[in-house]
Amino acid sequence: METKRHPFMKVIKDVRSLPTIPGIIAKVLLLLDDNKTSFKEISRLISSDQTLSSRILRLANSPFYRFPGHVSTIPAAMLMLGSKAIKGLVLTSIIFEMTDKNSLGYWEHSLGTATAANIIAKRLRVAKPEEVSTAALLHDIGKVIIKSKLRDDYEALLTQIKEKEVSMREAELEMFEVDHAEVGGWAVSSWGLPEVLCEPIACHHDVEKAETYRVEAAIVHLADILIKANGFGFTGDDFVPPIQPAAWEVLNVNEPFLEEITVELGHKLIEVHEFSQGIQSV
Amino acid sequence: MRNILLASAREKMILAKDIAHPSGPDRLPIYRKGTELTEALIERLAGMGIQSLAVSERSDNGEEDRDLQERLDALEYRFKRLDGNQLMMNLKGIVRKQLIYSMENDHGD
Ligand SMILES: [Fe+2]
Ligand SMILES: [Fe+2]
Repeated sequence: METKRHPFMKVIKDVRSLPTIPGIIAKVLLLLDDNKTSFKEISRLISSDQTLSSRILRLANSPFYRFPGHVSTIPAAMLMLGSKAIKGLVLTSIIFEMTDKNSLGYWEHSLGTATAANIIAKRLRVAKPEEVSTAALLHDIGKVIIKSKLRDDYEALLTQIKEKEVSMREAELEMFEVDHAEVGGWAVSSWGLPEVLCEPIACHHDVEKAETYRVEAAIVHLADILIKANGFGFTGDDFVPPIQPAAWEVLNVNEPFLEEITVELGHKLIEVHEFSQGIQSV
Repeated sequence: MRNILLASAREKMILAKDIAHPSGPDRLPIYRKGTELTEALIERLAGMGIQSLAVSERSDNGEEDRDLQERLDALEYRFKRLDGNQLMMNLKGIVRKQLIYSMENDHGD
């Protein structure tokens, strides 16, 4: 058991092998953790970095948060989103750096899942829908990490998926004995993201494993499935995973609910598609 | 065919679906598919409160049927491993219905 899992975990968990976090972002993440730091100080630091602040504003105005009006300053974005969601956006801006220009499919999938999660979370009256959207935005980050850290294995993974017609997750478990959800979970918690984002990312394919944020994990799980069912975006394989009984149970929804979400999502995805077309140029 | 926001509509694009007045009681089409967009028409649509519309690059009628069939086949493929799962088959039905609706009816509002 340990034979494959061990070396792979070492590569991933080795801090030096993780994508490097630029100094300014590391500092922002630290400040966001520190309760004594004021909003003002954090805002000033974020605003001092042109790229970072324009990306955050662009994301804060994206179709998946659905705030009325236009968010035009960093302090306003921080007030509306809260520091945990801002932290997720800061990280999202790093992933922009990590992904190549050809990963439009990945962004469409991530932005689409964030949008679906937002629709579900609001309908279920979850306290902080922005946090669930942000977790959904980052849910497949493990795939980006596997791709960037294990280039050769990643090629082999894609070949497996095509030849055996399996999902990416099945191929990962077969080859590495861990999946991208677990890898993503390790990464984001090592970067200091709060548990409300880490657990849903780590458990989006295994909702039962979520102990504290099972509802949030189930929403990300369902949102991911709805986006795959719609064939929106692409992240390595085409197959729709089944909705897990544990997710269905904790959300306590029914099929008419699925239909309502699907209709609302259909309209929203036109907007998301246009948004993703422009996002990488930010 | 692709669905776009009205803000992205440009002259010379071809309507891929009929457009009905969003607040008209009978929703009778007022612009037929195949109509070429002009600046004036785009402005009129904006005035009617239309936010998104379907356009195609060419005014080829057979194109849409092929397009729908391709999308339905792709949907079957995505769900092909879930045959025994009733909930997932029902979800496929929901997505299928929405797909056909969005291709056949205008929902420019
Ligand atoms: Fe995933
Ligand atoms: Fe996903």
